[in-house]
Amino acid sequence: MTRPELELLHGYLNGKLNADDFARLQTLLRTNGEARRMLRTLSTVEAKLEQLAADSPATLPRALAPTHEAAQTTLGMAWSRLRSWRPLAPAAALALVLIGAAWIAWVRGPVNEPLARLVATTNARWSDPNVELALSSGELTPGPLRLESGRAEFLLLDGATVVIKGPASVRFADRKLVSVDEGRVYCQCPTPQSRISVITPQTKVVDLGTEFSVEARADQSTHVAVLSGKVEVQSPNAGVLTAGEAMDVRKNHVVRLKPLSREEMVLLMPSLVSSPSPPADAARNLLVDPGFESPLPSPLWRGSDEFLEHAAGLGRSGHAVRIRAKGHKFWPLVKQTVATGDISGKVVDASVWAMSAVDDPLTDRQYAVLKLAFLNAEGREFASSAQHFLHKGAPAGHYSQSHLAAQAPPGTRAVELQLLLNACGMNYGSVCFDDAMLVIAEQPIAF
Amino acid sequence: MAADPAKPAAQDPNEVFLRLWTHHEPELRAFVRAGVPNAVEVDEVMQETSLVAWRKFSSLSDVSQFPRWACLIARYEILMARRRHARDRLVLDEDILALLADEGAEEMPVRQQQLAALEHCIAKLPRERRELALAAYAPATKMKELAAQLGRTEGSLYQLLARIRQELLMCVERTLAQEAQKS
Repeated sequence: MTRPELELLHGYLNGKLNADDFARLQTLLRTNGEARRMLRTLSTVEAKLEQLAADSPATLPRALAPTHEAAQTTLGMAWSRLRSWRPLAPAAALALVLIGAAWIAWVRGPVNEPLARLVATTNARWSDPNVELALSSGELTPGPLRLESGRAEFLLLDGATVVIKGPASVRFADRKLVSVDEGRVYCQCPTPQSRISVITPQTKVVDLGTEFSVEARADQSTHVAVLSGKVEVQSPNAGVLTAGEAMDVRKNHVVRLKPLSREEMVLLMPSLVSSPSPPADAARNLLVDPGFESPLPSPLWRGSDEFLEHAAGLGRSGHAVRIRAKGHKFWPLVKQTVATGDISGKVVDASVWAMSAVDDPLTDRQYAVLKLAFLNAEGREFASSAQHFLHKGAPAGHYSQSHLAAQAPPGTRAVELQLLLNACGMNYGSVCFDDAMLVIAEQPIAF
Repeated sequence: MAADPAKPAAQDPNEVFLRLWTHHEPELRAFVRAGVPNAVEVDEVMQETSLVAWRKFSSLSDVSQFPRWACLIARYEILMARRRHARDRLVLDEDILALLADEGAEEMPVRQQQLAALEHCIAKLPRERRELALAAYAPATKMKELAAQLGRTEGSLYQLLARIRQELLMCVERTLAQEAQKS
């Protein structure tokens, strides 16, 4: 083959041919068997590279990694910032350990958007703190994710929501496939584009437009339940399950279960942490100065003072609090603690409005976090729930509301509402928060 | 020693199918890739192919013909995908896709050898090139962003990838020729 002919093939594989060249390519492929053979072989090369790239985390070429000296400077800056960050002084030692992990993750730097993004958690406890740190930073670590307890809600690249309930071991194998070794996942695929499959040691469940729950059980069986729409269970004699149907799949047989009762459906269906909820009654708001009208710092709203601004005119009406990244490596925040007394078992509802600021908008990797921290009688955080929002693509200058609900665990004596910016160590990027709300609700949470 | 997928110990057709599919999926994917220029569409075609093959598996009398048989199903799904995306740019005409598929089905044993050789050829690439290629082919990579991170123009990044592909192709052909000589 001639060089121009080869260039036509590569141009086609790169998706970069103009109309004339594409017409020449079609003529070449129609008349030249060697060109077709070459295209098939080059496509085999592409398929292999795609497979390897999907199986292993992408890494930037080494030439892009920061130098050792630069890394040392970064660590030094992070340490000096920690030393001056008095509100979290007791956590400094732990933070220093975590800096190492975060730095490694930062150096590794994701080239691509992760296959799945953690958008919310409720009392989530991961088997590895580094995994938690990476997930909180918007990264997805390679290999299985082991959630020991609590629940975690992920948004996949194409729009499916996957909620994991611990204990569970789950891996996001590719953008359309979730592998569950153990535990229960709930999947919601709102559009044809977002459809996914869930694979367990016993079977594969292919979504056909639905909400469904899959549980890989310790007794070598898989329980599949369809809440709406239908799925195909790829096992002998299994077939298609429709809304209200459930099935137990074992290695050699399947058992189609009786239709789910309404109570069973409710139990399986999680109230998505990230889903919107009707606005709570402002009169029940436990926060003082929820609209940030008083100057900062204030005895009510505390946090990372040097990163906070009392922003006049940037609120939905009046003031707002603005958190600027200013090179912070982690999560600068503002927070208010509410002494609730013993509210064990009750549902705490929180919401806030937030906006990426027009004059200093969030960058691609930055986002806002709404977090509920549950404090015990000693005032220590022992459980939490969080929602990440204003991700890449959120329009600057436009307020949107984030909502979070979580059940207060036994031992809760106070609740802290925290509003954070995932700053990613960048000098630019800021978020404005306004009209925060914290109420004690009564309705139970399923899943 | 790996079990021969054509001679499964268990007679459960489900297990036989899963074993055959898993064993031949890489070369089937490569087969599909030649007719479908977009990795996401490849996933769609592979999923449809697996579903149809699963449903029709009982009609396959000789499991040694599985790769060829699966190629026939994939060929149909490739043509269906082409119709869905007919208005897109760079969609090959149906007769060309049929030629690519028909000849590709005959090459399935070679495809398997090529994929095995590629393991070694990719491992032998200089580290920076290998990492760049894997970053470029990762599912959600945007070439424009990758080029910016590398301080290159998009065009020069595409040229570099073309060179890497060409190097790998030559390495594969060299490897297979050497193996043919040995045997």
